[in-house]
Amino acid sequence: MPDDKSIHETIRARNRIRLIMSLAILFCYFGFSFGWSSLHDLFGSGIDQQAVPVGIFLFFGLVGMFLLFEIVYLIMLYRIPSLNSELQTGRQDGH
Amino acid sequence: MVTNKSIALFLFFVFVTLYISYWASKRTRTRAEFYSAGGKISGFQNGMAIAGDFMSAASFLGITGLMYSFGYDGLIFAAGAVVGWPLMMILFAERLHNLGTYNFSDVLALRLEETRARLSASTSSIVIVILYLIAQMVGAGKLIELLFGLPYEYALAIVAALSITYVSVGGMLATTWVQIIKAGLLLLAVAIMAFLVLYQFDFDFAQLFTVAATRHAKGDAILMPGGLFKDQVQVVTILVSMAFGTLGLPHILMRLFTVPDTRESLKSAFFASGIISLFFVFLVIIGFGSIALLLAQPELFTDNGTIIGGPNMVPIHLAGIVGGDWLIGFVSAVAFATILAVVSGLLVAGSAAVSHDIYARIVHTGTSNREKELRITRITTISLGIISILLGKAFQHHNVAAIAALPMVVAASTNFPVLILALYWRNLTTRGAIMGAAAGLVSSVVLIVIGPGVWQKIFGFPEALFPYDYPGLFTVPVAFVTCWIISTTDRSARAEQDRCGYAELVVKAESD
Repeated sequence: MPDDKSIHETIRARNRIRLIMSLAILFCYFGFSFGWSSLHDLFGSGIDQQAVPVGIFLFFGLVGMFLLFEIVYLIMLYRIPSLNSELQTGRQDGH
Repeated sequence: MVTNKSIALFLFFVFVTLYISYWASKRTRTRAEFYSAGGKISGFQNGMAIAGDFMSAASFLGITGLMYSFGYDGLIFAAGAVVGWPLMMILFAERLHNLGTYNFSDVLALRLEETRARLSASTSSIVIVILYLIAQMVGAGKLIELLFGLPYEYALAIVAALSITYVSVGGMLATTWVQIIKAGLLLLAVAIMAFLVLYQFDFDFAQLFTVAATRHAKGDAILMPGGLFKDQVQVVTILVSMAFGTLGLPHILMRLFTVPDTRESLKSAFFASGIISLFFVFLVIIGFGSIALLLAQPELFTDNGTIIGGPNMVPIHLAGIVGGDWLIGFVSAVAFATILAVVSGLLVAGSAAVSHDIYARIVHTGTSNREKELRITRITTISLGIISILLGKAFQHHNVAAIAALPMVVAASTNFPVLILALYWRNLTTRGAIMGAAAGLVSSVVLIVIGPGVWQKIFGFPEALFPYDYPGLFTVPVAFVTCWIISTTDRSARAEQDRCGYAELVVKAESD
């Protein structure tokens, strides 16, 4: 691996984003299954209030959250300089 | 159930897809063109094809049937089906594309000792493909028998013959376009159905769910957890199996290599995620719509109160209620097309594992002749097609749900742990990866066999030795822990080489 601090930093930054986003997705995913029963106890099924049942609403929310996480991930990813440009800079600097 | 309209629409689909295979055959000359469509598929097209691979008849008919029977708990399967895609985009889309050529074995071969890594990856891939094929073929046979009135054996033969033709003539390019067309048709079918269901309730969600709860025998309970799953562990083990199983399916992973660059690979996963999410949102409306609308139609039920054709036929009946003969014909034809497309995708993945990994890279160590390799691919495709007919026949009377659990759990417990560790953990060694995959494979097969789906429903024992059908919660950690223990205690020369090569691999993985 080229001994270049910025390359290390780039890879670390990308991995950090991946870790954060993956944990966020898994948290929502398992939270959906664990949390739904408790939410149901708090709010009821929602059917009495003539509203979309809480569980269904949560499922639609979960799907929306996943798509949102993906968009956030792409935005964050494109804010980090790509490794190609780091390697290009390294080559130009004679590394 | 069969109508002239459904037969006409199905024949039209077959005609179009066979023409695509012929068109693709003119553009499929090299190995890269055969296995990965020459990397010329765009991100959106590939996203559609990935979604097509995943939106199987089991999802469309099975999950809708579960929601119809059990209400809310059917959503657990829908949630399990959507979570794999954002993870695929974040964890695999870039790195896999940059490191592999045709399939995920290439990535392991780059990081680990090639022969053993390929042998292990291709073995698990073939096992997963065959298990997936059994589930698809048994489902296909029963579905076509019901929909079109064809004998079970004929249905198997038609599905296998058409899928073999798509793959062996047009390779990945034909398979991809078959998937794209099918995904478009399926999405259109569920969108029309969801729209027509909501139209019946003045586009008022609350009214839809209220009527559903009023008409179902379980009442309000269908909107709450507990209809199908009695304990939380059962839910979590399904969630684990489905989330990580998606990330280990060889025919899905293979699609990340059909695009020209990393940007398109990310776009593929993003579009696949969006399309699959939309599909499952529509399924929720269709599932609860079927409760609200079908239960008011006594002519759809047999004397003992069960719906004609069983719960899997619920979407077909619903199509008839909300859209009449044309929609029932369209939905039946799409269901058949779905099976054909998924079987084709599986045949490509299985044949690549045999011809590319085993024949070309292990037996001939990369010096094989191109024509001969493609010939082996076609022979493997035909062989897998024949095997799928035989297994479909052998498992004809067995529980499809239990068979369908197998590939997801095996993929989650073999390919996923090894692949993620190969991409993100410096200390993974060849020995650790192989032992981890083997431990995952053995534990998942054993726990499924002694679980309720096989032990009770197939072998007929009064009580299962293991309480869960999807043992992913237990087998995925077994694979990870085995990889970790064996890799960290591995002091061999090869292990040192594996660890030293990681840094270079990461740079390659991050550069387009």
